[in-house]
Amino acid sequence: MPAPAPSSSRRSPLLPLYVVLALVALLGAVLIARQLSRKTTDPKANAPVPVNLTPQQLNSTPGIAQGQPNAPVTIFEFADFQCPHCAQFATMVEPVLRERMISTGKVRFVFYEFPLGGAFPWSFIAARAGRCANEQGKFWEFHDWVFGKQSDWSYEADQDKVIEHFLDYAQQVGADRGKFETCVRSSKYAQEVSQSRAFGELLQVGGTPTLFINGKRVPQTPEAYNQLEPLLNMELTGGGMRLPSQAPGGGPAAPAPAAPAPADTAKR
Amino acid sequence: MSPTVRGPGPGDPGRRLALEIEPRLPASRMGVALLALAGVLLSTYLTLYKLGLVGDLVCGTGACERVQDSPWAYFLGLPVAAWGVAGYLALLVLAVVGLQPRFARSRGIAVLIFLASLAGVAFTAWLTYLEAAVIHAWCRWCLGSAAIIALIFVCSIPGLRRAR
Repeated sequence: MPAPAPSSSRRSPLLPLYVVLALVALLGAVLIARQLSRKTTDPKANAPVPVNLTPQQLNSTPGIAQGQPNAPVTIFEFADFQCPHCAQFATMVEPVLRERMISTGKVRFVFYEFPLGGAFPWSFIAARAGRCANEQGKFWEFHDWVFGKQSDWSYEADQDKVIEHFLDYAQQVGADRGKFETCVRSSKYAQEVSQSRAFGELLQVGGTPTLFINGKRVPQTPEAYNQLEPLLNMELTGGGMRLPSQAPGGGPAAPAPAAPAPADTAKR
Repeated sequence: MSPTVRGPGPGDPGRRLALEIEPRLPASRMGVALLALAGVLLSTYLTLYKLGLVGDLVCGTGACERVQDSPWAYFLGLPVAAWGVAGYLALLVLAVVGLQPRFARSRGIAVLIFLASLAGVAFTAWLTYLEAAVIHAWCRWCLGSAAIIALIFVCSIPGLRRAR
């Protein structure tokens, strides 16, 4: 009877390594799957949550609005011109929103600057430039250019080069280049932009873009219009959540965000 | 006088023969396999982000999105992260094949791992330069990948010396 080969009865020396590799792969797969499950397209999972806004808070900081003042739905957007997700929202979602909801008088859209700073060094000057364009009634056109061309200016190392881009965009949208340049190179609207950011902080805006629909925060900003539309329809059909009648501390809650300070708003 | 029973010592010809027949698993190559697997997982996560299948990156500073959404996050029409998946996967396969007894001393495998990791280090160095000098933002995940490929490169060097 032949003796069995000694090596065939032994465990493979690679087995422990395979076990470790399998465990690491499993752990990694679980962590990645958890990230995948965080991204949901279920509109209910992304339903707005109430935030109590007093009229004083609402009127304290003027945003830049487009749409009918008496529209049944008001959206507040807190955004940073240099943030890539904001650019995605501005270029992918907003054009359809304008066409279907804002131009039909169903939605009023109010833009609030929320310059993040840090990794986005030009976010504050971009926000101020937006206000400078607004001064000439060209905010939304300028907004579209700045977001649409974000990758052209966002990675510049020099502030003067960034301003040059903004000057070109302002000129393209029909603003007076000289006036715009004077405004951008000054510290004009620094107060307003800072106030806008502080307003966002008051509302516990942590990142951008953040949306509030009729005063209720949208937990995860939709990346496509078809994700936003159900939320708007809930409000339009009266199915949206109602704000409590009294805000904590006895202050009245806003029934729906009103148009902030008309003097500083731009209509499209 | 009873005979002394001794085990085979390091100079024992039998032990030397046994080591030659079944060489010990090279720890450095096991390191390459583990690191490459970590690289596969990391770059898969970033690829899924580029494909829009995960929401925000777990990063905390916004810098990861700034880097990942920049024009330099693509190479030859594909996301850089997808190239990372392919590269790390190739290194993982090479390392596992290179751990098999018949390939443990293969010069070809050792050279392939060395060259692939060298190419990875060079590519990562370019990407890190872009983060520092052009994008002005540091993506933690990219830095993690840079550390992984650098360690793989270091681990590939003993394999070259050992190869026949």
